[in-house]
Amino acid sequence: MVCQYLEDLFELYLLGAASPDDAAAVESHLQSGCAGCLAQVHEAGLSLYFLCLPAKPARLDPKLKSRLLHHLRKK
Amino acid sequence: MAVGDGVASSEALLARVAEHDSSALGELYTRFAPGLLGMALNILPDRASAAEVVEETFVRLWNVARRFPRDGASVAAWLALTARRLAVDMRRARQRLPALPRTNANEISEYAWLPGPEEVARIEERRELLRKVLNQLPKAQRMVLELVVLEGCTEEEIAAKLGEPLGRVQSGLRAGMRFLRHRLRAVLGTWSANI
Ligand SMILES: [Zn+2]
Repeated sequence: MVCQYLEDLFELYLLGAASPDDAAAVESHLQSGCAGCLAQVHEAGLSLYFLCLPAKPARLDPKLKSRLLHHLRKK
Repeated sequence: MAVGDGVASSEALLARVAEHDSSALGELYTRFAPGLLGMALNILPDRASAAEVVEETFVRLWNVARRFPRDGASVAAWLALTARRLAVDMRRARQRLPALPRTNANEISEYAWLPGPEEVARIEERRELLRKVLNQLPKAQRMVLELVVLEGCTEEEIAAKLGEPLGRVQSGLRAGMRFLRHRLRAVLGTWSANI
């Protein structure tokens, strides 16, 4: 029953969009170690990756890359 | 991203980043930064902010590289979801909205729920087909999904924005996510991802 209710919530939970009550329900259930739901969370991650895929790549100023690498080498 | 023979996988490059090899980070940047910028521009209106998000994403990758599990999460997925979160955080801060909550269940450590490299490769191979899947969603459902993913709205904020009851927004979003998950399974030919 709980698993069935939570099933459609995992993407919204991972996105931070679920209501506080629902987010708490997801967390306490996952902390109980339900293997089926952990597998579903993993699938939800796949959906999210797909949803975040950029419409199209954009051109970056090449200076940004050299600035970043310069900054990291100094760290 | 399809990686052919003779091209280092992103995960192999990340192993070098973990050893503080900045040229490996540069290769990852060349590979992914344009796509990440395209996504950030969908979330943030101005190029300077979107470019800042991309830069911060790679600084974070540099910092977490040593902790990144060697045979688990896809680097492409980590980059996409981290950049999305940073862009949404920036967008919300500008609108003076509170930051979205972080996931903090122990079992869902930072990386456990990210797809693996093979799964991401399968998605990339079928990207065009999957785009059609999104278009099969009813317009209203697609719009609320975009409000969540690209604008970083919560269910409650969407209900207020659209002047609709929370319950209706919630059931629309859940139906949209369920549809998407089922179609992804069908297209990718998996019922349960290996964990
Ligand atoms: Zn369960």
